[in-house]
Amino acid sequence: MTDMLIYPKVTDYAVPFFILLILVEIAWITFKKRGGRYETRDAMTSLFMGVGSVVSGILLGFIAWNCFTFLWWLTPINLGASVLVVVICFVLDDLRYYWVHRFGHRVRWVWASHVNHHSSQHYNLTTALRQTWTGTFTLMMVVRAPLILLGFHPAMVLFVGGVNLIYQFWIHTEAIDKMPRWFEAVMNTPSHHRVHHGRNPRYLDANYAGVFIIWDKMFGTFVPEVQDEKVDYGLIHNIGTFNPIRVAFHEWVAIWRDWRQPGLTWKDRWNYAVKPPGWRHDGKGGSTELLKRRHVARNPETAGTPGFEDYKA
Amino acid sequence: MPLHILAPMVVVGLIIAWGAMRFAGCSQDLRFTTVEDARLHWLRHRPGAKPRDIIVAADGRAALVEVGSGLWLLRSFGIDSVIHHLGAAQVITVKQGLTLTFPEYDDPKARLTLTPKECTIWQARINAHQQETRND
Ligand SMILES: [Zn+2]
Ligand SMILES: [Zn+2]
Repeated sequence: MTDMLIYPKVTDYAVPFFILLILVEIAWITFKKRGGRYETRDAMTSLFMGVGSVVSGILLGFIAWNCFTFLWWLTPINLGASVLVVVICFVLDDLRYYWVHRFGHRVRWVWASHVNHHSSQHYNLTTALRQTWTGTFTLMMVVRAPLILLGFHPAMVLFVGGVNLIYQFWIHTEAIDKMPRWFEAVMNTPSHHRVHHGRNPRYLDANYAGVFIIWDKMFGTFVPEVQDEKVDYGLIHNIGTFNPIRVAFHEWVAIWRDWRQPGLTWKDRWNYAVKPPGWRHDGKGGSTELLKRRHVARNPETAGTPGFEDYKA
Repeated sequence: MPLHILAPMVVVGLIIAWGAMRFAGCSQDLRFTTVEDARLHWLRHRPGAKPRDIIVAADGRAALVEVGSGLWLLRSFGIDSVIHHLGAAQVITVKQGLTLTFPEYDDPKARLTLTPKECTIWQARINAHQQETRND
């Protein structure tokens, strides 16, 4: 089917609000002396990553778009564009986001793109805009294919994806502690997403949700923010550069260098791309599981608590 | 939104955000005030690796940390810190101290401000460590 359906580019229209809210957050932190931290170079790097991500979308967006139009031409189903269909599309697309995001942390090829969102040791509204430049190369657009084949128009799928990203902007803050109980139960919130950005063993590989936290609860990846364990933001191996080019490409370079090690088989190279980050062919690599196990060994009282449910002292 | 509106809006936004952060005093560097302070920063990066020895540079922006896995650099990075193993570091003496270059793409260089006396000590420690790992 080739009918036209046009939605506004919502992320573009959100830009002035993003800027305004960042200024409000800076002012809030400055005057209240709590609710987060800002560092100029870190925040500017995040903002440049956001700009670069938009540019990359303009330059490479056509690849995904052409794939989607092809699938739309292929499918015999057209669900139309009623409000109900848009709402269903939004919910299903959020499920799509959950899985893309989960792959983004568990498959190194996808992590190479997503890592830069986690490469800041800060957590404020600018961190939300620290977005990838290399998403197209992960080929994760295939996870959107079922939606289009089911009869959701490609323009609608991209529109609800944009709304999803806008929702996630405001949750990147330490200025909000907890939302009302019912809201925390259903929606992704600053508290839940702080956990996702944590490098504490307790918080690793948790809370992949975009808008609805229910996916994490359904698929067993939910970890609540624990009152007496403050989130330590960033990566297991924090990067030492503010250069946006290095931030954008460092994990791709690392994969390339791992591939070029002498004595590798093609299976090793495949594994360097698809195994979780930290995997090594010589067995000397790290993993989330190893870090959690070591943490529980050092702190036996944490065994069985949130994030360590499956670990015994 | 047309690019001729979006682009200037973004540029102006970036400038205002930068100005606001300068004004709010967000541009300071982290300093390690004591050995204990440096130790706490180290342990944040590597909770399991208890330091055997730490020397903090006089300007407080860098420290040499010795642990079981060898010699590491802990340095201030904005108001945070980063660590780097010194096994493969290239050391260059410059006027204000030492410049270390690393093979890793995500942390290629560290410029350290050190007194001449510190320079000698740090360089000797790094050389000794690299010699040791080569002999292993
Ligand atoms: Zn993530
Ligand atoms: Zn995030």
